[in-house]
Amino acid sequence: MKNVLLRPRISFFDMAGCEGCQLAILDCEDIFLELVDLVEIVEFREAMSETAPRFDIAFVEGSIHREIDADRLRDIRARSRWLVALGGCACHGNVQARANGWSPAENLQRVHGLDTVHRVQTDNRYWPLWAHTRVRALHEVVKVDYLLRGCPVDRDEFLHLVKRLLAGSRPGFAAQPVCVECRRHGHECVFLHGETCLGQVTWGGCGAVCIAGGYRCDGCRGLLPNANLASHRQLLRERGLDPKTIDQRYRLFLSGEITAQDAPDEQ
Amino acid sequence: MKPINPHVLTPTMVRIKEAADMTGHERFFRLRLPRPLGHRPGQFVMVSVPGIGEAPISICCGPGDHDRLELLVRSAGSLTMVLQRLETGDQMGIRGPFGTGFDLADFEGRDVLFVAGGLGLAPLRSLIEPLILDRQRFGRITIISGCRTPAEELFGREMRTWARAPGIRVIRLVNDTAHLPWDGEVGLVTAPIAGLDMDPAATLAVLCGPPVMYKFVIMELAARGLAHDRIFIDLERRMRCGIGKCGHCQINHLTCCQDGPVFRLSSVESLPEALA
Amino acid sequence: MMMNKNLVMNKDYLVPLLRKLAKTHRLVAPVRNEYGDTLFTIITDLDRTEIDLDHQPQASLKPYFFPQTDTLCRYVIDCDPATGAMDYSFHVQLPQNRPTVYVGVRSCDMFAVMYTDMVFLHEHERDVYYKQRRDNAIFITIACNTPFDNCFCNATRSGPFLESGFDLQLTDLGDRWFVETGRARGAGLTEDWACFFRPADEADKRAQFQAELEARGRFKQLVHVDLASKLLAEDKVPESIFRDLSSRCQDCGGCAFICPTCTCFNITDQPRDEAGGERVRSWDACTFSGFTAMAGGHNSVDVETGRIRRRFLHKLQYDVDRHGRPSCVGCGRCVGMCFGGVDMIRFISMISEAGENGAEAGE
Repeated sequence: MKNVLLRPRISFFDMAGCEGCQLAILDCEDIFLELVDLVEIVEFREAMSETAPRFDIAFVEGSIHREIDADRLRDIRARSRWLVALGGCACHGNVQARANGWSPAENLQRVHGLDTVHRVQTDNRYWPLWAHTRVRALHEVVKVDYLLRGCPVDRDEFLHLVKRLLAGSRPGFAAQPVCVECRRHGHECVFLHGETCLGQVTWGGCGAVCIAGGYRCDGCRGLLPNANLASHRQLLRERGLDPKTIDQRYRLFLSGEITAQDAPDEQ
Repeated sequence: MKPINPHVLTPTMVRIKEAADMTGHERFFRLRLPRPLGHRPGQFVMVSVPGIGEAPISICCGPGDHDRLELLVRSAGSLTMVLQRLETGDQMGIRGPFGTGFDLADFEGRDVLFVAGGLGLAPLRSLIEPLILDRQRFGRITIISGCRTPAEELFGREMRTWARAPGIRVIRLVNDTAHLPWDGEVGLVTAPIAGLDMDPAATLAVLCGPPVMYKFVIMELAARGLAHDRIFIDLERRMRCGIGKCGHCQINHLTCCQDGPVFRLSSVESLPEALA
Repeated sequence: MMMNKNLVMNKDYLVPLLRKLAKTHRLVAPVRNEYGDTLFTIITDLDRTEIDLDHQPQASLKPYFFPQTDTLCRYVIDCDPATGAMDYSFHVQLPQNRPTVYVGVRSCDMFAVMYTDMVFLHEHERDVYYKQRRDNAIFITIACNTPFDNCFCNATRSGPFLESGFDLQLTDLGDRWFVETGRARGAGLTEDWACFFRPADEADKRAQFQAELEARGRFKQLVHVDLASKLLAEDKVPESIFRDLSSRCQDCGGCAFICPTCTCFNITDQPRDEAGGERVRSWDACTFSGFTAMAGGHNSVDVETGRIRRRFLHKLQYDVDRHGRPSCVGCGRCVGMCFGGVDMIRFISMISEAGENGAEAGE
């Protein structure tokens, strides 16, 4: 079998995010060396300084806050054959999207105090930093070919995606909840010892690492397309969570995907 | 008929003898098997690419004591995308044949009406070939084949050859000529049925195409008085094992891979999800 | 047909008997672990392991015959370094055939093994992977004197006492086990180790009969399985029930994974390295929304209600058509598993109620 792409050129970009996903990829050295054999990395700020005009796969990390970021993303899209959203921020806005529930001025006041609000509102230099109206996921700006979910991304999924694209195929990620992962790995359900969890409504594929580590699922991989939120909310209510806490739990990672009806009570 | 490998879930790698694009997203393969498959028309094989996966593909060549296997693969999923890139001399994994397929004895002395929509012509070709090879055993043959545009027509040259055999009528249709040269008709596959010279008591109809086609073709055939046990339909389902165990292709108590994929309409019409 | 023999074994003799059997067989029995869960466990040291026959094992024997992930074959990629030509090949990978004694198997789980035998060994194609594990298996089952809270095997006719299928069936008579031999291998076992057994006398037989009668009266669940099958066959189940259940299903697959008779699977390739990988089959569940979706995206099953419908109809209607009986064995595990209350008992009670109301309305 031949590869149509001989050593495809791949690149990494970061928008608003912690760059943890890029580090997560750099961190798994065994995989990374295997990857370097297969592809040519042409732009990767965390690891190198060159830039390239065109690439086959662009991995973009982080969410879009400012219009200049949106323009940069459009430029990347125009230069790339495939665009992959790398990590939760790029896929669905992640924690940052929580800011969408308030106006920028309110957010600023909450974080930096009223004095700062007054100062930056009269200072043009600060404008681009906070005067966005909405935190956006990549697909709200450009067409995204594939999503690598998680905070940070899962290394096996990353490698699966790259290999499948190299083989001329397309990666397949099953739309199944984290619960399926727990069942596959034999983790005891956290509900059985009084904890509550967002596993039922969250994209699996992570191997349920948080549950394996003794924690619960907070939903960093995003909302499943068929997530049964009404039933899940009912379950959380039965387990003693009040509506406000439930909304906070939903809004931690899923603000970008959850609608006002899904989490109505929080102001 | 024995599977190509005694371990039925383990594929056998087979060399591609000939590979050619038939349209922009369908590729035709001719394979040379280690021994004759001995398949029946309408059966399918599971095709694999190691590391990518497996998918059911209809056999599109006629039965017989030959070591040839012909497949037409449309790019639809992760596996079939990869298959589009295979060339002569490459390998693909094969297991099977699976399914019941057609029994040629059912067609002896009968008129046969084929209605194919798009890729549906591929599995029907495995039945059309033996019917044409042995003309005197069977009655008149009518083939209605439709596709979206002339560029998407499958087996066009072959259909013109078939049309020259005695007692065969081929009606080729497109929904839209898309400004391309076209020597067939324009319209849907349902259109010619009303005007066909057909004896409902002596005719068997064989349909293969998308689910929406079945609904309307069956209505037209019913209007011509064709009983439902004289209509064969080829149902496509997600399949994983081919041996009736994995559960994906189950339609009520039937498994498509073992009891089908060819069914008499009368045996499945009462099952709510069969024609969905 | 061989007559079932009735024997009696002193309670203290079970472990010594197992010790003898363990010399030639692998031993699998319910063991309570440090978290308080009773699970079928491979026992390597009988002296340091206590077999727990008091609780229902949380999982069935299914994983021992049909593991959650099971390698079907390996694929190997040979690359000729001179020409760069690739050569692929598949090689079947059969599991080890290990003679195993399964001890403390409850009637429902034994019956489930008999059902999966039907699926994997008697229908169309024989499954070599299952057969390999199933051959040389000995079942020492335990009849349930006291059914557990969610049990309804009386309604599915798969317990609490079995007539056949087991090698040895033990009934607890207080200080002694009443032992029935089922299949030939069990009878042979009692002959090989005759020193552990004595023939049952009339008092033993009466005590065993009494235990069985009392057990039947102790079920806490009243589940109309046959009525449910009848209503489904007559198409008298309102669609609203499936809608209601679907609205509570969270798509976690727990019911299918825990079910001793659910055998749907998926086949995928798992690359290991450049030189090859494995083709594995893993458990799948018909309640997953993508279960029937085809490559092009078409799905013949309605994702909203069709998935739940498919699961319950498979158990209670399609398998009645195919095998003559429902494939639910009444173990009640799905009841404890599902947070949404989409379980067999709930489903059957919902449709029985709807059936009664429908009958009243019709009169």
